Amino acid sequence: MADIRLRRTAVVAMCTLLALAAGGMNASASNMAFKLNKQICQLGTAPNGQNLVALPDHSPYEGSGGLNALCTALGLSTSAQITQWNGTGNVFIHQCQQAQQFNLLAGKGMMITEPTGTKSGVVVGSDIPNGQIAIENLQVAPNGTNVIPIKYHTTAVTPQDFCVDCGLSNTATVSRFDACTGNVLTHTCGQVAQWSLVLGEAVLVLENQGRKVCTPSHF
Amino acid sequence: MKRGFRALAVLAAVAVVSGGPASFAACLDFGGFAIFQCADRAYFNPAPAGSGTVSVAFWQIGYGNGNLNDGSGTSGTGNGSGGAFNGNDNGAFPVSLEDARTSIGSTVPPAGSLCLRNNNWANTGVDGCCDNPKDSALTLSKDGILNPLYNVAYVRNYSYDANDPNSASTAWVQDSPMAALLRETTGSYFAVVAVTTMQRTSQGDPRPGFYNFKDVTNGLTNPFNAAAHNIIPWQPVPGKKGSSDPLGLVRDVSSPTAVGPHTLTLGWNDVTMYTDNRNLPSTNTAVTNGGMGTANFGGDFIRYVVETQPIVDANNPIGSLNPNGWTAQATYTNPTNSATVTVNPDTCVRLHTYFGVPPGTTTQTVANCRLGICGDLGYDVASPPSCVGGPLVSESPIELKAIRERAGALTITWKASAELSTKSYRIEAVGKKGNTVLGTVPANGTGSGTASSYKFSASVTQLKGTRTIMVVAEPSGAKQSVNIQ
Repeated sequence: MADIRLRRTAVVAMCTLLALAAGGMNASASNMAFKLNKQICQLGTAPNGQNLVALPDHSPYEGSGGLNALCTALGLSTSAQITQWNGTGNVFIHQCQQAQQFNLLAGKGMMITEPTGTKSGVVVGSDIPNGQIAIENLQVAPNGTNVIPIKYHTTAVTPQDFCVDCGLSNTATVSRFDACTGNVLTHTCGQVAQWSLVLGEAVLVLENQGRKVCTPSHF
Repeated sequence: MKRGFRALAVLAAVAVVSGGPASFAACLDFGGFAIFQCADRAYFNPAPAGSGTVSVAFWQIGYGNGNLNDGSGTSGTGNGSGGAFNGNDNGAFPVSLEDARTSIGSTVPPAGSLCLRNNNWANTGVDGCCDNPKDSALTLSKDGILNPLYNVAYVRNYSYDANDPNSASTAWVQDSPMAALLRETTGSYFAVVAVTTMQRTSQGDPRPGFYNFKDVTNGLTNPFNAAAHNIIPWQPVPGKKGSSDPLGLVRDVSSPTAVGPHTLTLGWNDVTMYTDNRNLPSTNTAVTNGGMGTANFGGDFIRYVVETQPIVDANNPIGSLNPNGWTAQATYTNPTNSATVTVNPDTCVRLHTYFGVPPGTTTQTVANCRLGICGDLGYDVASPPSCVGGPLVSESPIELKAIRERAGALTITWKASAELSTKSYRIEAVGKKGNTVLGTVPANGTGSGTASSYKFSASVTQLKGTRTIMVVAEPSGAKQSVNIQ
């Protein structure tokens, strides 16, 4: 885990330098820019190919046309889909190259499915210092289906770190989907963590003891 | 259909029509259902000294088939691709059974202890799904939640509050407990455990649910928490001779007649099934045992089957046995730990211990298997064979003497302790080029079981330098030899 921390610190440091260079050295240290190579694994039978993806807080994929820009950036086919849950009962699906019917939801992760093959591309963006995320209370699905983006410069290494960061209850669960192997890794808050968060991924968070709002810790 | 469900249905449809590995499937429910042990500092004790390589299997009680693992099936009935009963079990998924010290991050667990780490019923390779739709007539029978305590139809279709007293229902409690079995390659030891689905904190608890082996209540004391008794010990295979069972399976052999059936007295050490011993009542009409807690199944999930097989090669009775040639003679359950069985002469016997519930049918259709009556198959251990063959010791001639007289003639005497089947005795001179029959003496008390004494004389010319005499009881072949004095 120490290795992961060091690697993440190095990535953040590199991103910071990029941000500073791009901003003519005027950006504050906490306003970081990010650039990440991201692989999207081919859709099989769930959970194979259920890629839970995190984007930086700010990105070129916001607003009108943003989702198709993301499709292009990742080299996705016209069969690929981007799905977002707002956590309060709505699910939004965009199929690549369709006319966009919703804009990227801020503070939410997404699931990308690509049936035609494994794809990859580069995603870019920057953070919002002190940006908050909301974890909606679990009720009848999709109420409380929280696909939460892990910040690119998070200090959290394990799901338990995230639980503590966001004050989640001991009945809340955090699940990571390994879309390439088809494995789901679940952590109940309070347990000994058995796996680590992965840069560029979102996680599924289910919390049944009330809505939580937090500003995850970051470098 | 609610919007969210429509979205999930679309995703499921995409999954089905995609070009992915269609034979690999498990729970399609978003997030699946996790299986915990390491994460809550529970574990299996180290395998005993002398154990071989450890393997692990998990399955859902009533739905397990360890004999067919193809990673297919999503419906929770236990039927996979093509309708075959492949069970709800680990299937082709490489179960995450890891070193407990590493997983827990502590040296408190003994070296070599193991625990289930990152496992989920949704994982690729898992056979089937633990979300059972037992009751085909129930609305939303496959509900994506393990044993909810509310009326799922009211809440999802009519927006009832799950915590409303009018929503209370145990009709959707229809998801079976799960078990895990560790075996090792010497066939001497195993560890077994079963737990009910997650304990819900309220009627309206909306969590999908999971299984947690920390819930075990009759295990060894957990060193992290003295109030928890969820450490799972290994146990010796019932009927196998060892330090905990110095006698082994066959404790006594008695024979009314030597050529007729033998009566075997068998004994073994009972298995302990480590469970959460939980009662989880259900009003679902398809749940015929009253509930889906481990306690509702009678608690132990153990049965012992005495099996026999005739000896094919008397010179290699155990090595010549057919692994698939065993015949069940009798079945027992805890707390029975002894039995008396009657077998033919020249028979091997073993004790086969099965875990889970016995199949209630051999017709493995969806209609049957969804009820949980097709399993559990392939979760077992067996004692080594004990063979009862050849002539009985009681048939052997005893006190055999061969004394040379002054004239060179030989006087041979012997006794029979209990003549049951012996009809005659054949007297042979043992030579370097083979044995020479000196004569035959009829038995005095065949079938009586009484003792008798015999005397036989041989001439010098018959002996031809022989130094050893053998007396053979017929027809059993029990024999005894002695040097001429």
